[in-house]
Amino acid sequence: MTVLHRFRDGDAAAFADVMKTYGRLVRAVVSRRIHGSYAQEEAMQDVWVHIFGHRHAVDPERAESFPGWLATVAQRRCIDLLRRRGARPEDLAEDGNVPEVAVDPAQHVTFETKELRAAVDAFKGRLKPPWNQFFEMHFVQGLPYADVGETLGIGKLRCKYMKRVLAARAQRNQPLMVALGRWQHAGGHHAL
Amino acid sequence: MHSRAAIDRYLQDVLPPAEEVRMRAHLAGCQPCRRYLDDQAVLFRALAGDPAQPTRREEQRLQDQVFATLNLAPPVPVSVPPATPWLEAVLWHPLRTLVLSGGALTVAVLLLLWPRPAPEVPRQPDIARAVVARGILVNGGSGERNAQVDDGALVEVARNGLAELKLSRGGRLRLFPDTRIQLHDGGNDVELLRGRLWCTVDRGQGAFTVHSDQAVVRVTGTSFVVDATAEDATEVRVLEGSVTVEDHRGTGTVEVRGGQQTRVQSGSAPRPVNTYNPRSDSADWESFLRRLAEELERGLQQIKDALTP
Repeated sequence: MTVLHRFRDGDAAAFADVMKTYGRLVRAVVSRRIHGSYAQEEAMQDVWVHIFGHRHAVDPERAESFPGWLATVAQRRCIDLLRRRGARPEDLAEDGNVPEVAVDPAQHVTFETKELRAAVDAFKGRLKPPWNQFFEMHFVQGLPYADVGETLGIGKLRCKYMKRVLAARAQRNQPLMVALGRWQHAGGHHAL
Repeated sequence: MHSRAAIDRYLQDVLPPAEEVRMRAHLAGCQPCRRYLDDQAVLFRALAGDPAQPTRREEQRLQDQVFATLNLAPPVPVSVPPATPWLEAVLWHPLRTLVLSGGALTVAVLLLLWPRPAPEVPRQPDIARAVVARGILVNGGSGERNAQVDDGALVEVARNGLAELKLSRGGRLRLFPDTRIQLHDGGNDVELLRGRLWCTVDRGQGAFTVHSDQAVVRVTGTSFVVDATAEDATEVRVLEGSVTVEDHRGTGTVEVRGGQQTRVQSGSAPRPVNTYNPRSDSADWESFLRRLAEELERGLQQIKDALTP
């Protein structure tokens, strides 16, 4: 029995597999229409709940059409959400749909450049070994304090402190903020 | 505005369910907080390697929320550790049956003969108890006098409420109206999310820390007030003993002694200390207590009047 068969039957583990495998695809569709990580997260939740509710429409024998089905469902759900939030009439295309929002090229370029990666690498490179380890485990690998603390032999309180200090240092890091396009917006207020 | 530290925790850590629900409800109606969350999310994603892709914590939270909405049990990864070579060798030895049955028989006899201690029920130790409780919520539920507070608990006091917690580590926390705190590390670490907090900490019980959005206050035994009622500043006023106050960026540290105060503005080092009249905070507390007693007295009088024929 394939994952898609089990997903259609309502199997939770199969649904988790689908979310993991196609998470990027659904997020890409959502982020083309809805901006801001908070709004996107709300929309993603709604879209996945909707997908699970309509799983009976999936034909497990036609696995090749599944990504297309997901993208269509996600897109339609986003349009519904935007309409429900009162998208202005001028935001809707002639067919009544909400046109795809063009990604700001400047912002896109900013995130795609090697500048950001270089800034993060430089930021990491200046950290002392224990801080670097903490950074890698908590910020990059996303491990919770309990796991990080156990590996590094430090308490939860120390973990919290290190996280706060690193986050504050990152916000003060000029090359990183420039790469994220925030330096100019803030008028240089991030400088120390 | 919500606590920025709370938003950072929402993005990077696992919050108690009640706190997560409250956070989402707040974010839905607060644009400045949503904007801050959006900025921080991009920063954390960039630090994790790609500002366009969610962090693992974000992915996990999305899955948790979707599964909770659908009432689905979250999938638990099952991992069976591979048998180690020595264990395999023992298991596949020709004499395994004899060895294993002999060992099992010996263990069974020992278990039968061994005196059994009374079974212990594992319990999360309480780190504080409410000795004054009026209009308070503990972890989102109504808190009464003598309510027990466990590690990680969120304690909220309403605008017309008042609370005093007795710490198991030794000392008391007085929460003024419209205050919200979270207790960590066995009551040794308090996060002041909003409002005004008066701490009286016993000496000789180790370090005690209060965090706010702007400041970190460290003490080993003293009585002081941390006031985060202002939007972008935290005031620290010391009644007895001394405390060390540092801003979160670590750009400055000041020692504040009894009868002195300092102020930490967002993004700045603590200001130099100046004098403070300790009577002001204790007079405030007494007036709140008096108001509470008057309300209770009025309530009792109403009951008495109702019962009088």
